[in-house]
Amino acid sequence: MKEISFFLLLIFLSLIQIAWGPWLSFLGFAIPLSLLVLLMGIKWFKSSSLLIFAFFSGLFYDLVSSETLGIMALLNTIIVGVALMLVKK
Amino acid sequence: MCLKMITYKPFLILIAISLLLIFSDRVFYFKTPRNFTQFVFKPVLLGLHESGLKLFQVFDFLAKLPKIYQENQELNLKLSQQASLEIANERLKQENQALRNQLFIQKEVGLELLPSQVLGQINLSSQVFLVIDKGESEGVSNQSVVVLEKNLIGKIEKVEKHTALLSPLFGSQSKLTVKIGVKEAQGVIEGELNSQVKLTQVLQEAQIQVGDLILSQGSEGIYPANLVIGRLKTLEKKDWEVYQRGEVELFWDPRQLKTVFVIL
Repeated sequence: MKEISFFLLLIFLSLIQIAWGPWLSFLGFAIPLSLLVLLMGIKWFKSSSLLIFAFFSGLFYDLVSSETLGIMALLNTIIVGVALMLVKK
Repeated sequence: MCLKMITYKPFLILIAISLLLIFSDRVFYFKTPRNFTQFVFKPVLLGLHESGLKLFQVFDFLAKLPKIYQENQELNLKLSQQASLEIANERLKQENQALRNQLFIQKEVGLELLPSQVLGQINLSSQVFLVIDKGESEGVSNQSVVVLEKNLIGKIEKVEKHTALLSPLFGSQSKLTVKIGVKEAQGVIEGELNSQVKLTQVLQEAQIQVGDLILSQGSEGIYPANLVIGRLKTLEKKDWEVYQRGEVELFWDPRQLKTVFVIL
């Protein structure tokens, strides 16, 4: 249940980022929120699960935004990987 | 070593899948999954976009608020400056008109007149006074007579260096002898309740009527003769009384007085 909720939250964040455009990031909303979600994810889930969530939410973003499939998935995976490295070292 | 800690295997697998997806999408372009996802989430995106626009308007307004406030302050300041300028202009216009009129009268009467502005109205010991902006340094002295065109306004009761107190005709202490109508019947006018002028001490046999012009007689040695006081507004004539009484209508409104002239 927790996993589904978290994944839906990631999906919602992706949708918001597409719908509200880049200005939202400038307002300091999307980036801090994403960071908060990431920290929550690190606390609640295993590293492998978190990486999978990041990958699939990135993939979802690519599908909805007509971005090259896999670009955001790759980026999300790398970001979460680096974050895990920093937090769990 | 760090990568081992974050489960090395899934990370690499996911990176590899991502790269594979990028490569294959560039080659084949996966249209169907894209179309399906976009179709499903289109209404959600639309709703979010609209709410985002509203939110943006709120943020935009909040961001502009200090600027708007500053602009509002500046506009208010300009507006008040403009208003004071307009008032000053209006006053100058009236002063100019009064000076023109007075110049004409001055030539006719042959008196030396000092134009002065009315600064306000005060009450001292239950007597009303008008404050004017000319005083001792400008040549104003106690008992100087103040006029407006040919109308008698009052006399100076107290002089300061740069201001003076003018006791108007309607002031409670004001009193002077006058002549009424074409037959120049004698009478006395007195200020009453600091707001109106009463005519008294007109003998019963004097032939006066409502509408008669009232002029100063000049017998006190203070007021020049033939200055206009006003017009007889009402008349009370009772056979058993010694005098006739009446009410005088002034030709000037004390609330509208701006420029007056002191006879030097």
